Amino acid sequence: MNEALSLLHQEEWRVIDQSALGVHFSALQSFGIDDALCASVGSGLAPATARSWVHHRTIVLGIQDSKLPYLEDGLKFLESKGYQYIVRNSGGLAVVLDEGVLNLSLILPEKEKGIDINRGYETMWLLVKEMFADFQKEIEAGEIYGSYCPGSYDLSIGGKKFAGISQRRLRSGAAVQIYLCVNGSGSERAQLLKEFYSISKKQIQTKFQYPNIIPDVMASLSELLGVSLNIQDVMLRFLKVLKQYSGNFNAGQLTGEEIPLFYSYYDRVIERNEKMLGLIAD
Amino acid sequence: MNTPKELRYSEEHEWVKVEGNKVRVGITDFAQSELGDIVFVELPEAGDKVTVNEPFGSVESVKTVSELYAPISGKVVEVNEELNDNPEFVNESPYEKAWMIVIEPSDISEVDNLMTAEQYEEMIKED
Repeated sequence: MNEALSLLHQEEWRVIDQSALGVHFSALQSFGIDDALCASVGSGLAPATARSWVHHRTIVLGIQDSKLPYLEDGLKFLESKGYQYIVRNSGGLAVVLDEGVLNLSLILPEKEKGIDINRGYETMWLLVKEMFADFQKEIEAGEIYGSYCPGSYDLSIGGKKFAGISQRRLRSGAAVQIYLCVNGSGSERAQLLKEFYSISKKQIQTKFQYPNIIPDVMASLSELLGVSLNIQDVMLRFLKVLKQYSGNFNAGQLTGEEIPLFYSYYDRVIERNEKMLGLIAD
Repeated sequence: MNTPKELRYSEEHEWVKVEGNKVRVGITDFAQSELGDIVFVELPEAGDKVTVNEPFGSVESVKTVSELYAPISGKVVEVNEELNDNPEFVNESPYEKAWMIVIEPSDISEVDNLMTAEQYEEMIKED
């Protein structure tokens, strides 16, 4: 955990708040922005950067989801429920984003040490623990069986998962991304994905194991902490903790040098998304 | 850690094997062990151009997604399609079954810029 603490301590943290950009802000843009930030932070053009983001009714699929045998049927189901969908470029399987889910990215330079993946996860876990320390509930990290997009760094309270973390590495920068289910029903989100997998996989045996979702193992922070939290409440907690680990803390946007990087990575994200979803037509 | 002496290595943990006027490329034993279980490998198509130090694909493990960077510029002439259905080959056999692409280099002398096995071992020791 000490190593994670050292990553949270940065001489300068820049915060890019995109948690209130509204319905036209696409998740594809978010992944393009994080790639651009990885490149700029990794090359030393920009300081360590934290970005917050919220997307309206979007299912973010993992790469393996693009191999579901009846994916087209699953995507039609998502559309019928009023969800958009994209394939993300960081790891894992499908997750639900909506107005009650806050995403945070920590973009860190890899200069201190090469590939050290667990340290990125530990850093995010530490940040979330500190954000909610006043509730005195233990936040554990470990796979929650039956959750959607299960992984070793599922964050849970009392066995119920409220967050998942993924990572992406590019150009000596690492983006550690987390979704935090802040409010709304965790089990309803899980039910949606349970039906998606049921429709997309049917009874076909697949080489890759897709999750057997048990909706009740997912919950929002509001449900788990017994208080009504909104995105702004959690943003304040996030900023307060980050500020305490920073010599120089400032709010910012993409710089003039980062904007062309964004457009170039955004084009790649779009192309890749189309290619991944195009695989279903093959 | 297995680092075959006859191969050359990039700072981004790719290995290169010279085969006549072509080179075969994959990721190193060190890289696969750091990444953990590989679940997906995304590769270019035969005929695509790759540029040294620019991404040509990505590899997804249970822990992270990492970009793959071309160790040399040229044209992709062969792609290991087996990795589509068997990404675990990268963990099991990084230097044999899990070769990723074969490149026809635009300038074969770029290979000389890559590290020897000894130099690569030194680099990962420092990491």
